[in-house]
This record gives sequence, structure tokens and C-alpha cells, in this order.
Amino acid sequence: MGLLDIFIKKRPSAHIARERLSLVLAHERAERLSTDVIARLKEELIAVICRHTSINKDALNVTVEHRDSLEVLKVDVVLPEGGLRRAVT
Amino acid sequence: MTRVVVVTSGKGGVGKTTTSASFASGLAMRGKKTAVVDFDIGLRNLDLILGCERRVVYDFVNVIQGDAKLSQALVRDKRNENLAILAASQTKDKDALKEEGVKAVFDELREMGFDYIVCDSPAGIEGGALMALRFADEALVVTNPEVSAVRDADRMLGIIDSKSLRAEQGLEPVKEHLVITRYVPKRANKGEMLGHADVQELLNIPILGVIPESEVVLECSNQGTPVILADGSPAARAYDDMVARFLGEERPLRFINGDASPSLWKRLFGG
Repeated sequence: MGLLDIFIKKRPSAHIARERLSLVLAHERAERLSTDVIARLKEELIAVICRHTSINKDALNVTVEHRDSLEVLKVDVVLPEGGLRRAVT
Repeated sequence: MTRVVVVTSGKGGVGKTTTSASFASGLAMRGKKTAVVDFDIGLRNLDLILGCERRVVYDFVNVIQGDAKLSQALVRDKRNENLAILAASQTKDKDALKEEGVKAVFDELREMGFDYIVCDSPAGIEGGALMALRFADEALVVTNPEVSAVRDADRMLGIIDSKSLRAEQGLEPVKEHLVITRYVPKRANKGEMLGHADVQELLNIPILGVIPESEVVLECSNQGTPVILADGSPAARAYDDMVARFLGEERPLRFINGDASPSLWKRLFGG
């Protein structure tokens, strides 16, 4: 222990706990929110696309990718053979 | 109208069963007809904490599977006739809790005129814990001032907001209350422990109770008495405040300023 340490007050551990928790909770809440939103988005996208084409439900894939500070929403749609075709109504 | 209240936490050992026992007893003491149900299938303990373990004949799973009537399985509390306990099964496997079965039992409890059904949740975020919160109208989320318990409580809040029947059906959301246990005001004031305001701010739900750390809790569990009945002890009074607030009374938080142990004067002369 250095002589200076006597004069430097140690940071209370509860402060550290609060900071660590607020970071981890914010991160986990954002993740939770995005999985909920993605699930809903996917459902609605399928409904919309199916109204206009005859794609299979499994042919649609929605993901969110984190690139640096960006969040990228990626929607992959596999079109049926023969390309876009109106759904039979 | 029966209200279903789940006592949950995510993390184990933070005082769910202790809180369930005191909360249910407190409601009963205030004249509310209360049933407290142990959802910890395979690890039954609520009966022991409430001191009725020798009178359990049938359990929750027996009733769900039709091996016993609900009226046969409900154990009346010896101290308060308003309180009934439905024990968890100690032998059956934990997948025995099915949603329809639980719903049927709850419907019957409603018909029997219970004001409150208190669901003592197991730890974790699977099967039994999900079933305990499924039908909840309100939730007591129990945590102690420790990082892992607070994080798990937050996770549990997320699960209540997505997996409860109220959430799925788009009804008014489950009303969530925060209960902080094992609180040591002196340490919190010194910055050695997360303060109740910190925990409240992090989890962002209103505080229903702050229960001070107390030797009485272990003594009560030794004897099979709910803590709320340990007359005069700060933990008992804190639980009593908690129940009063739950029922709509306004009571300021006590035992948060290092006054958890009574002064020598008070100990000698009461007060």
C-alpha cells in the first residue's frame, strides 16, 4: 500500500455493483425486446408476402445483425420456382 | 373476485417461500380467505415453513391427476382458519403440472370463495416457475441486494411480461411489486450493499417491502412459524407493512436507516 492510498478513498463496492448491473440489464432488455419485435415482424411479413405470392412460410427468414454500432434488419425471402406468382385466392 | 398472486424471483434462496408463508398468513390475519400453493414439485418445503408438514395427506399433483379431491388436499392452518395450504408433490415428476390441470384447481378455489391464491414459485425459469406465474394477476418479485439476484429478478420480470396469460391475451398487464429481502441498512449506508433505492431504480417496479436481515427468519423456519408472527421483530413488522401496503394502506418504509435492531432502552422496556 502506497502512502497516497491513505488519502484516496476507496470507491464503495455498491456503486460498482449498480454500474455493472445497469449496463448488463440495459443490454439484456434490448435483446429481449428485439427478439419479441422480430417474432412479431416475421409473422406480419409472412402474412403480407403470402397475400401477394405463394411462398412457403419457411422460405422467410428475419434476423437482426449487429455490425459495429449499426443494427441491420435482414429479411431473406426464397421465391418459389418460376419466380413471383400471385397467390391463388 | 379471486386474485392470483405469484411469489417469484428467478434465483433460488432469496426468500420466496419465507415471503409466501408470511404474505399468505398476513392476508389471512386481515380476514382474507387465502390459499397458498406450493409449485415446487419434487422439492416441497412450504409445508415445513408453515409447520403443517405432518398433516399433509394429499398434494397438488394428486388433485390434478384426480387421485384426491381438492377439499381433501387443502390443509387448514392451525393458527388461522382463513388460511389453507396446498402442498407440492414430493414424489411425482415435475412435468405433472399441466396448464389445464392447474386451471381446473384454480377454478375450484375460486368457486370455494378464496379471496387470494398465493403461488409459491420454484427457482429457475422453467416448467414449475412458468406455471406458477401463468395465471397471475399480481406478482411479488423477491430479490436480495446482490447483483445475481437483481439480474435474475429482471429476467423474471421479462418472462412475466411475455409468458403470463395476461400478456398473451393482451389483458391489463400483471401488477408487479418489488420485495427486497435480507437487507442490512448499515451496510447499504456504508456503500457495501446495494441500497433499496438502487435496486428499485434498476428494476423499475414499485417497492412493496424491504425486509431486514434477521436471525428471527432461521428461528421461525426451525419452528415452522411464518416470520410475520414473530411478534415485535423488525422482519415481522416489515412483512406486516408489506401486507398492509398490498391491501392499499400507505405505510412509510421502516428499517432502512440502520435502526433494524432495537436500542437497549427499547429492548429492556419495550416500545
